[in-house]
Amino acid sequence: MQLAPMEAARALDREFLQIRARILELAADLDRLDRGAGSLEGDQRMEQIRQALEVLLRQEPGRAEAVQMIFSRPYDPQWKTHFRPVPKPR
Amino acid sequence: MFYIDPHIHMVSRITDDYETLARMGCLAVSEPAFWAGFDRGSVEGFRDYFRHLTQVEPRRAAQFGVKHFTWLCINAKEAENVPLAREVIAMIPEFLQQPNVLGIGEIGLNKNTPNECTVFLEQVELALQYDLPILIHTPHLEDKYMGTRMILDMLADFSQLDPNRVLVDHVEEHTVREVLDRGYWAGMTLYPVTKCTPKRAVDILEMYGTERLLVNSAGDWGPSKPTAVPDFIMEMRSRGHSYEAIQEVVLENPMRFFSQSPHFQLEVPTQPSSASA
Repeated sequence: MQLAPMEAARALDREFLQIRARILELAADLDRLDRGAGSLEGDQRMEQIRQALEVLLRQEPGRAEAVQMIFSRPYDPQWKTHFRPVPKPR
Repeated sequence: MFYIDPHIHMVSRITDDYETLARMGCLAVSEPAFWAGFDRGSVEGFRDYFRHLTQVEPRRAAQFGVKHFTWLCINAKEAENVPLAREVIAMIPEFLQQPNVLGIGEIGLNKNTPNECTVFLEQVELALQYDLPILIHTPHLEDKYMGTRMILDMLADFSQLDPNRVLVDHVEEHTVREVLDRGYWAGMTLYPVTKCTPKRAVDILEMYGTERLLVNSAGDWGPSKPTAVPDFIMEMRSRGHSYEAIQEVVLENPMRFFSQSPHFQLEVPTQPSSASA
């Protein structure tokens, strides 16, 4: 069964305050990281966060999937060539 | 509204949770074997766990009119200990004739290691040997994508395996398409932080349709919510999706998948529960 998504204007009416709240929460999270002692320079997680925030500004579908991929280890299609099952005892 | 929670770890929950689930319209739960929060030291620890799953939990659930089903395996985390895992695999058939056992699960990967793959493959063989459905755990967070793809690669090597008898659980936006495209069932786990939220689960359904998709709470001893499926139902209703569509996801799809197990039997009352509003 295919499900029709809610009409966009109605969805925005329903979600606007929650989106606003989540963006504010995120902004405050980043401010908190800035205020903390020490530096996060070179921390790969900050780079992932920056990339993910850029995805949110794209004007195209699939943003949730794209963010997931930023936080995922890449798939190695050759993984089986390195894999050897543990032999069963005789 | 009546529903089934197809993945919940009731051994970790209090008896009051069964009552709450029953009040919410839950007719049945299915409980895959999993990691207890610590590594068990011997095969006897697993034998006791399987007794718990096949004898204690069905009685506890029945007090509230909830049917309890289960899946048996050694989980991916403890699969790292291959000698112990093999002892457990050899012992599992002792329990396969218990009336609430649906199949083998939740097998899968955790950190995508060769040991985990070895034990996963041997448990797929066990399921095939006993002609049972399989419930699969996919890894968490950054390991999910690679691990899910590895699992699908390994399953593809079993030419005799019917994809329709395999449920790949914990799918999210980046893994659901591949699972469905290959003909497997897919489960979405509704977790507060680390997996899927009710809103994102409904988004995924709006993109992929309801066929072969399930939702579950995977309620356990960690941060989780046993009433997450009713939360999903509320999200579906608030977006205006039909009663029929909701029933398909939360009741009919689990029944279709579970009905492939010889032990699955469930009577669905003809009238909606009072909680359906």
